Amino acid sequence: MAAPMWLLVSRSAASAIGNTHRRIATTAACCKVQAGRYKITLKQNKPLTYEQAHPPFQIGVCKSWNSWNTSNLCDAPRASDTLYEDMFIRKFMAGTWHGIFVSEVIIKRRHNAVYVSGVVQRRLHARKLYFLVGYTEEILARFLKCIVKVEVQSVGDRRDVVFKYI
Amino acid sequence: MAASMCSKLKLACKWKKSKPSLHILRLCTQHLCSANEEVAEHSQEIVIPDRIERGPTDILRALASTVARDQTAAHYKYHDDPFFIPTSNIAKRSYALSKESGRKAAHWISNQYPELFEGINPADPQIPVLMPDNPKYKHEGATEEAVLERLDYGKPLVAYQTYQDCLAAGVKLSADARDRLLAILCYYNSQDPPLTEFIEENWYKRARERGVRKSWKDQGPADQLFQDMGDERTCTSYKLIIRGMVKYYQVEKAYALFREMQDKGFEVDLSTYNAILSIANFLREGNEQKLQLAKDLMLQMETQDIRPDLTTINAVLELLSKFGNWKLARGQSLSVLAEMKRLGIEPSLGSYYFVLMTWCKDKGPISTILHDIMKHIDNKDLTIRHLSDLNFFVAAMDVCHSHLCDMRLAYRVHRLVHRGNNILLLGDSFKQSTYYMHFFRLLCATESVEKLFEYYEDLVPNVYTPEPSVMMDVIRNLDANSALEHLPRVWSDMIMFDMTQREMLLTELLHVMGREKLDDTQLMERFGFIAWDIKTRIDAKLSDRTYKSPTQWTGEMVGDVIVVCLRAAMFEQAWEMLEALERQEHNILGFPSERVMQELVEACIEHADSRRAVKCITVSSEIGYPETPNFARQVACKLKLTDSERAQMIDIVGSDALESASV
Amino acid sequence: MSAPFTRCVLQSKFNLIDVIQANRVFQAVVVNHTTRERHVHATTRAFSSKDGEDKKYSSDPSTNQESKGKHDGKKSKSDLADLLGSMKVTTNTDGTGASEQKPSKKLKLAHPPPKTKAARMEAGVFTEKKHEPSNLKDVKDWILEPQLLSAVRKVAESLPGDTQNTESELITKLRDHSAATAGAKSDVNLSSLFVGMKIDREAPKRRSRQPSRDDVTDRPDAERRPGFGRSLVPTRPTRKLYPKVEERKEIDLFGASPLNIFKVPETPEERVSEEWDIWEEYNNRALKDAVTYSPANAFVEQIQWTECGKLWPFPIDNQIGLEEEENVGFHEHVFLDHLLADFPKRGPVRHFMELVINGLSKNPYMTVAEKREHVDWFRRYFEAKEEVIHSAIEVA
Repeated sequence: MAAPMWLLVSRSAASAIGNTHRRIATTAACCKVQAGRYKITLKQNKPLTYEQAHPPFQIGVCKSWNSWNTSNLCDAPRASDTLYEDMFIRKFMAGTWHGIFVSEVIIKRRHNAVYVSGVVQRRLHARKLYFLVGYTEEILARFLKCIVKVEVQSVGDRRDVVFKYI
Repeated sequence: MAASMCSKLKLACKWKKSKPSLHILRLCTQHLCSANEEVAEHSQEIVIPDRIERGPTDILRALASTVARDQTAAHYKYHDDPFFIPTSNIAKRSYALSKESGRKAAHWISNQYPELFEGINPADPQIPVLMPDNPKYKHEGATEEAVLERLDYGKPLVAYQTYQDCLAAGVKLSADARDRLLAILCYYNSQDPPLTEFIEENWYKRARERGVRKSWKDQGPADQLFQDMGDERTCTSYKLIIRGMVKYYQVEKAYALFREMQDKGFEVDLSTYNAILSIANFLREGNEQKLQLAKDLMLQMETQDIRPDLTTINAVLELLSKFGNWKLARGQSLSVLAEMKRLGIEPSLGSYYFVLMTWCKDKGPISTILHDIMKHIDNKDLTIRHLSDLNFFVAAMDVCHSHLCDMRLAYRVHRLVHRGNNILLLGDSFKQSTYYMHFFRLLCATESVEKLFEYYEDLVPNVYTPEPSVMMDVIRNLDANSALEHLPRVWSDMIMFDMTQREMLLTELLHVMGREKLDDTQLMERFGFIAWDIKTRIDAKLSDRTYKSPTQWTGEMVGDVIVVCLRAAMFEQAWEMLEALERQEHNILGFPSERVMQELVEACIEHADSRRAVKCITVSSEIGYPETPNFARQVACKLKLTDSERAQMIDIVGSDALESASV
Repeated sequence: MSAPFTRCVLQSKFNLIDVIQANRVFQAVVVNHTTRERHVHATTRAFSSKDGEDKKYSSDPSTNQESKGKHDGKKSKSDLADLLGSMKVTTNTDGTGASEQKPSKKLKLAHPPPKTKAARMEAGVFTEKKHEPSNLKDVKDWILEPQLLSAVRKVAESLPGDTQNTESELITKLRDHSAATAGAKSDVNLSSLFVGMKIDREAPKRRSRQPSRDDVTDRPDAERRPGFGRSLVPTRPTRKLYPKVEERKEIDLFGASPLNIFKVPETPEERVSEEWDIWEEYNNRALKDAVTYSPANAFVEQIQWTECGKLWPFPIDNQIGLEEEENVGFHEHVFLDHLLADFPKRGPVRHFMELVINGLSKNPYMTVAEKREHVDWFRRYFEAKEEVIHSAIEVA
């Protein structure tokens, strides 16, 4: 895990503006891992879901994956395409279902179909949520050229999915 | 045989003659083998069966047949979450249709902006259903290939446009191409074919179908094309246009063209005859003339050696079912059925439907023909063979309920519907709800409470949400069978089904609750709670100005609420109702009954509340009940009255009434 | 005719209108609410207009209502109708014919005030002293009023059919009626029936309900209207009796004489359509769509997806959708040397083209036609640039 650039630049180089010399880093690397971790707030009021509260090394231990597919088997095709499509789906859900999902979008691929799941809050009327479901299914199917099924569960209050406050 | 050979072998060995012994040995083993084979053959013949060709969906169908309906779950199309599960009819409809409208929105976007959908995952081979609707035609211009290509893509209007370009450019189309264009224009009435993938819309739409009304587009593309053909009209084109016109009820022109076709000597085929038979009802007046026309057409068919099929017979049966003269219709329908049997055509559900319609008319005598029909179709796996098949089960249940009032027959029909895949023949949402409405009304009328609730729990609310009339029947059934302990459950269902503003239902419910004091105090308390809930809801809607036509209070309803509250030991609430009654006298029709006033007086006496007692008597006398003096007497006897109260009472009932009390 | 009537009487109380109609003898009487006696307001139903004679018996409701107060001197036949209809019904819980009428539950039907005192005395149909309703053996001993008997005879004569039969039927009916009410089972108690019927009141009552169990209790305030054709009675207009299953006539659906229009084919051969009928194809599709609904479970959904092409069908076949390539053998893809026949045999062009051919033969993504087109392009290109190439070669 590469540390950001600013940690590697030495102090002398930082002060010299327009200096074309490159130097070897001489300070110690921080080797700090930041992925999937949230900064503690002063007031201790930032809510975290169960999934957010556990750092990534807990995946497979007390947390599971958000994206299930067979692209990392030996000689499995389309690993990058699958990843790209997953990114696309997540961005699409974040935009279309704005503020409605209270969990991560879970994507499972089975046979020819993509199953998109998650937990939503009951902010909108069920009618409107059904409209969004139908729309998402159809339009993602047309993008990805395969079957897309959206399965959501609802929760009354978004505080119900909060695991801890930091 | 083998044994003798073996003994010969032994002898041979003894004699040590090798060649003959070998020969014998060979024979022996051969015989032994054949003997073994014979034994094997006799005991077990191995027959390798032919391979059954499996389609891609066969295994799925087999699996689907193993899945029974989950009683407790809503339909599969709804998400399995309490928030997403609809309970009332309106909710079911709106959730299903809004999901479909989301699909339609996505369709529209994909057709408007097809370039956006090409990049991310180009499929090879392409899946046509998921592609945007902008076909890239290979043939452009005014050519026959262009027309045919557009027809292949299922775009008749675009193809017609190309055809007109061809005409303008002077390009002549072949008869075959023209006929194909005519076929699709006729079948879809000069419109684009409707998309069949919008299932929910079709499910709910059929309820509002227009019925028998002419909708053929006169001088539309189909008509124009036919006229353009002029002298080159082929037999096929006549057939197509006649069938198209019949489908959209342009009956006069269809018949005229039929005659023209016959005059020109073209050979009319079976489907065209079927089409003309189906509109025979509109071509003549008078039952006998209609029947005569039908018979004439059939005779013509016979002379041309055309064998009739199911559609022919169904058309004739349909014609008979519309006759007013039921005697003629009945007799003829049986003849037609006998003819059907003679010809070896298996009747479909549609035929039986028309027979039912003929025999079980509202205005004619009662007929029990449904028993006989059930005898023929019971325990069969039915498939759809004619569009009218979908009407049978609804009609059968209607007959069981309104015509015959026969529960056992209804059970028989119900069992048949739920056998195998027969439920597919029940029809769309309107037909299903009508079917279950009749079923439940019959249950309410004839069965005990246990049986009623057995089916109620099974079907409501996931398969069927009852209409208000059915809920009324349920309440009445409970009332008649003295099973009022189910009433709270009925009330909670009414809330779920969004029926809390139906005046008739509320009146009935209150009346049933308020009729008698039962021993079960818990139930009485529940009734009180329900009555108060009703009161709150009505008042809420009354004060809500956006609500157009709220339920109005009536005197009886008020009286019932009072009585129920009293029995549930909710004296204050009862009193509040009385005060509301007094305040809103001008808005409330009618009065609470005398019994209510009596109970109220008694309750006041119990609570030793003399002021309220006097109030009761005032109200009672205002209404003008003859028992008011008795009430006054009771109050005077049992309660201690202040002087002002006593004076008030004397004002109302007169001093002599009170005096007789004190005496 | 009597059998259905008798059965009706003993049947559920809700079939009262059936009872009255089937009997064809009505009278409209008016309820007097002020007294504690219950009166019955039975609605008059018109006879079917088929029978001419019946018109004589159709009593006009309006005139009958007026008969409460005055006798309008009608014909004897309407009096007959009045008489037949004015039946006194008593509930005698002890089962014996009470000599005195119990005032609480007596039904006094309105009748025109009699002219003479004697007639007034005999105005009742049955006087209680004389009949023993519980003991049916004594039916014959019941003494009917002579006026009634003559009336019955007149009715029987004027009605079509066997006079004797009709007369006996009418009399039996009247007797059974009384027998049923006097000490029969409580739930077919005719008085409770009448109690449950509509009672006119000055105050308008909007509720129309079934007679229910509280009619058995004596509640002075019970204002009930019969809700005929409502829930407990199915919604059929109650002008007919429901047929009993045991009695129904079986109809042989296929047993009638056929129309005999068509010839029966000797061999039941399959219909062979000579031409491809596009209309049939559309019809079949419409039929299939008519039974396509929203999927009921996941398997049905997968079936629908498979049929419209979205889901890969099993067994998985990688070549699905690429059928045209199956007909093309591999040799056409790999052995492309024959395409170089037109090119020069030596030289850089040949060299180049051999490399092209080599590459194409290893390319699995192009169709054969595309590969040939590729080579053709090169052919055209090099033909166009021929002079340039020659001059370049000469220079080099």
